[in-house]
Amino acid sequence: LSGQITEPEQKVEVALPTPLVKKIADMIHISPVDARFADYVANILREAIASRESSHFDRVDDAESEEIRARLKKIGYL
Amino acid sequence: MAFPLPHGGRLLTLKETHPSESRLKEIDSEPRIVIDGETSITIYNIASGILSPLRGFMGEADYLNVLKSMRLADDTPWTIPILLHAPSDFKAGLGDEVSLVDGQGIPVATLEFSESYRISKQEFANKVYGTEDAAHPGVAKTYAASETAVAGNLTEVLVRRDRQFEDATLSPRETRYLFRQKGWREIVAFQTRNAPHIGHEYVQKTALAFADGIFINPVIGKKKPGDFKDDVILDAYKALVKNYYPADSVVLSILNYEMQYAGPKEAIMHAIMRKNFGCTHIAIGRDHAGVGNYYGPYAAQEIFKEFPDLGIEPVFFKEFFYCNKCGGIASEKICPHPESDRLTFSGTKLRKMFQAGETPPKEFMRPEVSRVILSHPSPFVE
Repeated sequence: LSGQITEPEQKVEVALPTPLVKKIADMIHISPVDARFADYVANILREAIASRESSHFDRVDDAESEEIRARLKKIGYL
Repeated sequence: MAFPLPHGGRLLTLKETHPSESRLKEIDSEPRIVIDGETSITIYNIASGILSPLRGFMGEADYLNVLKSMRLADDTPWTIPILLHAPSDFKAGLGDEVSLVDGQGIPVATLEFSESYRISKQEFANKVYGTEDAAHPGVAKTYAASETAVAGNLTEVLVRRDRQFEDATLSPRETRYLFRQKGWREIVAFQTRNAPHIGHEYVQKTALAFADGIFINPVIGKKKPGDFKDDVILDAYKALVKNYYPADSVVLSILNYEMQYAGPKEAIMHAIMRKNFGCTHIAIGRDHAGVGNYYGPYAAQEIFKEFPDLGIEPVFFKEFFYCNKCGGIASEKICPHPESDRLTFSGTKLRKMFQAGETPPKEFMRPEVSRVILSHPSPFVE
C-alpha cells in the first residue's frame, strides 16, 4: 500500500506486480490505465472478501433461541 | 452454499421496550421530532435488523456515498438513503437524546443526535429515482419532505401499538432460526405486492426446483388505489400454499415497508433486506419495483452486476405468460409462438374481472385463490 489517499474519491493507491496488472488487463481487454481497471479489481476483491465472510455463522445465545422457538411455536411456524 | 451473514456482517437489533413512568416524563422534556407513518415503519425495521447494518438514520458521509457510489461510507452496498427529515429550525447538541413521536405526540423511539445536514431534493431524486419528474411517486414524496436531515443511532424503540398481522410477521432473527431448524441451506426470497396468479406460482416453483425452500415475503403498508388490500394478499397466499405447495417448502411472512418505486436501486434494497432474513437468493422479475415507464424492463436485473459482494444471489426471470400452443406457462426464452397464442398475466384485467364478480380462468389464477379474493367484500384499495 502506498497509503496515499486522493480526495474527494477516498481511494487508496495499491501497488500490484506489473505481470499481474498485465494479466488482469488482458483478461478484461483494456488498458491498465482505464478507469474500469480499478473498478474491476475492486469488484474482484469485494467478491473475495464477501465469500470469506459468508463462511461464518451468525449465532444467537440459548436464551434468545428459546424465546424465538416459543414464539414460532405459538404462531404455528414450528 | 454457506448460510449467509447478515448485511455488513452482524444483525444489529434493538429490543422494543415498555417505558417506565419516569422515562416517559424524561421523554417529555427531550427535543422532539414528529415523524410520519413511513418513518415509524423504518424505525421498527431498523430495530428488528431488517435494515442491518444501520443502527439509525444516516449521517452525511453515508448519505453522500450512497448517492455517489451506491455504498455506505464503509463500502457496504446500499442504494437508497435512509433519512430522518426534520424541520429546518430543529436544533440539538451532539449526543442529545431526541424523542421521535408520531402525529399524536406518542413516543415511538429515541435517537442519539449526531448531526443535521441539508440535502438537495433534486439531487436525491436524480440519483435515487433517475428522474426529477414530480409525477413519480417517490420523487413527489421527496419534494414534499424537508431538506433538513437529522442523523443518529436509535437508543430506544418503544413497543409498537399497531400490531396488524402480528402472527404472520417474522423478524430476521426468527426466519434465520426457522430456516436452520428446517435444515434449509438455499432459500429463495420472493418479494410481492400482489395476490398470486399462475405466473407468480411458476416463478416460485422454478426457484423451488433448485432451492431447499422459498421465503414468500409480501409487502404490506401504504398502497395505491386499485391495489389488492393487505389481508387479501395474505389470505390468497395462504390458499395457494395450502393447496399447491409441498409441505415444508414455504415460509410465508409479511414485510411492513413502504414501496419507493425506485426500480433498480430498490431491487438492491429488497435483496439486502431478504439477505438479513437469511435468504441466499432473491427472485427478480421484469420491471421489479418499477412504476410507469421510468425504468427499462430489465434494469432491475442489470444493476446486480455492480454488486459482486452483495452476499445474496439474484435469480432472474423473464415475463411469463400462458401459451395456448405450449399448453402451459412459458416465457419469451422458452416459447417460439406468436403473441396471439399468449395470455398475459395482466393485473388490470384481473382487477376488472374481480370487480365484475367474475372468476378468472384457471390458466390465469388457481380457483382456490380466486375464491378467497371473491369472498372479500372489497378486495381492492379505494
